[in-house]
Amino acid sequence: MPLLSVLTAAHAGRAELLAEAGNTVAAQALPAGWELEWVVQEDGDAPELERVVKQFPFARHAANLEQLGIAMTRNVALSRIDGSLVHVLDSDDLLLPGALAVAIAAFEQHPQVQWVAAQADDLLPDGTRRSFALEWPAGLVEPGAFGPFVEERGELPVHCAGVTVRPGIVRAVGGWAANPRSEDTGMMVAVAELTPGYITPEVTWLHRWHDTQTTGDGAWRSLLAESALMVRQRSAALKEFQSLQGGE
Amino acid sequence: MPLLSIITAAHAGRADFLPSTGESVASQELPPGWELEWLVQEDGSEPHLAEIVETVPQARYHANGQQRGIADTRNLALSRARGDLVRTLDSDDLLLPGALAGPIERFAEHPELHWVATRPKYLDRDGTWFTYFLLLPTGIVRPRVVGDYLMRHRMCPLHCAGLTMRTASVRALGGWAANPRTEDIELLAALSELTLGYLEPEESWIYRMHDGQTVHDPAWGSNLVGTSYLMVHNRILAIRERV
Repeated sequence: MPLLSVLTAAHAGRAELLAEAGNTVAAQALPAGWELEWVVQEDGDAPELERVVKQFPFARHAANLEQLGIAMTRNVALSRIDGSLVHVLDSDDLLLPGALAVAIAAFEQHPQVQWVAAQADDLLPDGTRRSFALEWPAGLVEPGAFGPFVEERGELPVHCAGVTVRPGIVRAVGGWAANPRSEDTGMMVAVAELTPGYITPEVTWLHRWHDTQTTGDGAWRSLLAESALMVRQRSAALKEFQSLQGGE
Repeated sequence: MPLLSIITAAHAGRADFLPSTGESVASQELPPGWELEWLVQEDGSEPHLAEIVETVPQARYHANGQQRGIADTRNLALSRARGDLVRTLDSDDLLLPGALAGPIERFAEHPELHWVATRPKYLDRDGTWFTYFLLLPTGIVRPRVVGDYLMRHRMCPLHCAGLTMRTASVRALGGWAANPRTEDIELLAALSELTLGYLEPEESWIYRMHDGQTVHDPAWGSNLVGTSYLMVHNRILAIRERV
């Protein structure tokens, strides 16, 4: 039976949002034969989310019991998953109905792809949705195609929250990177450099904007330039490294 | 002019160790034509080390301005590296004479190398010396040799704190990994699966043991140690499936 693992890193302050996220996981209809597990990894030394997670029979909760940050927390979760696909869901975001079925269908239609990125709408604090266009067309993406975009912008043209990926390539590149602000881009830039992917035309998840987001924090803005530099350096170094090694 | 970048992640609690670490950098003799830069990256929200570091002429200091942990801090230093080679040096350790010249010469002799490891000389808390045993034969280390050892024994067969590596290769692999306890072993595991390395028999640095080491903190030995090695194991297997 094929299994998809939904991976969520969370911390104690997210109890209410996490329950909402869990409800959107519970509502997913999967293609015939597929099952899902929801792997929640809680950061921090005073965990509180087990009671939320255990309401969902398909969910598994574990706690770091110390503060490790988002990248390590996701990597610890990655060590616990059993699925042949992993879908990233942030603890404050929401899946739309059919989100996982759309991703699974893309992998089945394009067996060569190792990652599928999807469109999102912003969910504003007043509950309204705001759509935005990705700066890259939907469809297949060849390995390395994002290189010039990354070099110019220090980021990717897709949203890294909400990707569905083959766990093998995530593990091969070291998972989420030890990068202060761009841990997910630091990982996905390597995945997209090395493997083909697909961008769905469908909007499948909601990116919530709220007051307790770390990205709204003034301190978060420090180290942004350094983090983008690290992303650019990895992208450029991979091109050189692959030519030396014949592929990672 | 070829340049070697020494990467040192530090925090305010290392103020007593860092002056002698810096002296050991300043007194290095390099092969003709080589220069070095010492990149010190200070972790924590209240940095204290600028004055100490700046007494070393080759130093380039930067502070995170916030608490990031060792892997992010080393990666921030790596982003500032201008050399084609990076050498790791922990803030409480000391380079021995010739520590840098040996690996540089090894890279020159074997251009196909991506990393060179050396041995530490251990200085215990009571002032006694002891020998660090290498668990692999010295000389060229072929891909998979380190990985096979790691997966079999859940232990690194060489010391990661004295590695000299190609800067571009480290960047390609994402630098030090976001791994709770074995961020450096995971980097070496990936690098050594994919590239040729070299294990030097010589001792090239002094590993100073002291009460302030994180490895002496009881919380260090939590179940995250096992998880961290599992992450290393999974990465090795995932790379092998792709190569």
